[in-house]
Amino acid sequence: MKKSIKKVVVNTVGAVQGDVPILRIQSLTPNGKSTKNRVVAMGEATGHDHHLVGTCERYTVSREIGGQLFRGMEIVVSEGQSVELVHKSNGEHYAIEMTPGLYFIPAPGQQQVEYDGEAERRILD
Amino acid sequence: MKRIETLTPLQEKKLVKFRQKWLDIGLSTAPADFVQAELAISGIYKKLGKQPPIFYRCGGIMESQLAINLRRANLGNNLGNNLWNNLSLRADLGDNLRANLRANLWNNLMANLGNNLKDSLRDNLGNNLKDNLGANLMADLGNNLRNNLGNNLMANLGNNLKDNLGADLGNSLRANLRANLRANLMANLRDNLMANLGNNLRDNLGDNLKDNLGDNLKDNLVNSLGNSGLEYVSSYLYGSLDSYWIAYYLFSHQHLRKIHSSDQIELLNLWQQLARSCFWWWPFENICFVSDRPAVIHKDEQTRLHCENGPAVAFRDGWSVWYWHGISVPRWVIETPEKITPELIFSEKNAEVRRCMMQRYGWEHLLKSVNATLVDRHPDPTIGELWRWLEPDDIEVQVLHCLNGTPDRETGQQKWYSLRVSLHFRRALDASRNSYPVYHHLSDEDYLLVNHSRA
Repeated sequence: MKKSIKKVVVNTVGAVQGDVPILRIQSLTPNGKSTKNRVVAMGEATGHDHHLVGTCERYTVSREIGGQLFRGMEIVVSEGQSVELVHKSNGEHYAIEMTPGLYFIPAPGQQQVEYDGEAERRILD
Repeated sequence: MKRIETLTPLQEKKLVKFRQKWLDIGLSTAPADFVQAELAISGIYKKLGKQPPIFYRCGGIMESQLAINLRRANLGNNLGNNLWNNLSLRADLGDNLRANLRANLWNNLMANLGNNLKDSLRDNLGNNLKDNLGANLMADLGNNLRNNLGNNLMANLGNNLKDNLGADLGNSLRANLRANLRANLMANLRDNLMANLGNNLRDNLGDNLKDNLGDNLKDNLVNSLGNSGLEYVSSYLYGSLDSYWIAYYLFSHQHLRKIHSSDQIELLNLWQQLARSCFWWWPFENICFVSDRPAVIHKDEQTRLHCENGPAVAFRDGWSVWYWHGISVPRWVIETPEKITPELIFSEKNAEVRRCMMQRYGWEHLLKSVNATLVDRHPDPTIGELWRWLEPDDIEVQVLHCLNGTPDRETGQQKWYSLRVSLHFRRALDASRNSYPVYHHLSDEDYLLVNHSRA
């Protein structure tokens, strides 16, 4: 039987899907480049990506957050629309529902990191 | 004619048996019946107005990939050049091998078969169901047959195999080739070459061909494949794994009402025959590669690929994959778990694989074996606890051990994860927040809020 996917809704600050963080933002970065890409992270070991489902505008940007520069994607979910961030990995992750608003998802390599004894390294799933 | 809206109790019983029968077909590990498979494929070629192809029987899907790639990339140039230099058989080779193979192989029939036969058949059969079955019954059957079998066959087996194949082909081809397939491939190539060249050439070339070809091919294969020569050749013709859609269209016709035309049933029977006799297949103009079924398939209670002491899927060509509850892991993690050490666990870059290694080793066992000290424990286990210990080389290590915020949707269980973190953290909350650079600037309250929206 096909299982329904339980959703978590992004709260006022953000949400996390495995190793992919989502941050709510108040404004878009000027000069963001419109993109058709829906994949925000590749599951390099599992082959299952994290991708956006639903109608939204997407821009690739470099954005400063807390004094640090991040590459990534800004997402605009308009009123009346609903977008989900979905990851298929043997049931590892639920979908995250993104209600109308502005969001930022950092690019792979700046999502979740782990200390390797000398520096922080990217976490793969 | 009135649509059928519900199943009778007898039909419901039949449905359960029917589904199990097709699941068994889909997961069969019996050796392929290549004769039956080839008859079915020839029938499908005939439907396309094509002559029956030459068949290349493979012991598994990796051998199929290598055979297709090698024929595509290497035989034309490497084999031709080697023989060219060694044997002075330019005319024969040009005619018999290079031209023949290249022309035959790369006029791909996959799209033709997919578009003209498989998809249109499924569209037509689907329309028949719509005409004859009520919407609720169609949905019920869809859930019982197509989705249930699809999850078991394609989602848990087919896609995992594809992922592994792609990864292996792309990343560790050289190792695979050397470790598993060299002997197998060599024999296949040599045998095929011999067959192509025919008796006259075989007799004439004799030992010269075997000896030179073996060594030259070996070197060329390792170099060419290891560098960049190989690519994953996709197929969406899955043989036994196609059971999930075949069963869906077959059940209504066999147990409810004769709803498909004789032509459609004739074609569906060919697909059924294929599902019962072989694994994946790759059709090309005049030649078709057919893979044997896996010799071994092991799953856990949630039907995820899993085996505690050997490959979860193993093919007769020697290629295998190792899984721990649905997660692809290196062979040694499964077969020699005694080699797992805390150092190896925390040097593993993949979080999922690390979690599997941790499960095998045991968190409590790890804490004891390294004499770990608890630094901090947050009341929320999804933030976790900080542990610190000294590795054998006197390097101090700090690890955040935390619970995944959301239960696994298959098992309902929450899984523990461990991340190595910098020594300067004294609070689990700081270590957790620091693992996401984009959250560094958040206050404790805001980070806890984000953490409650985990999926």
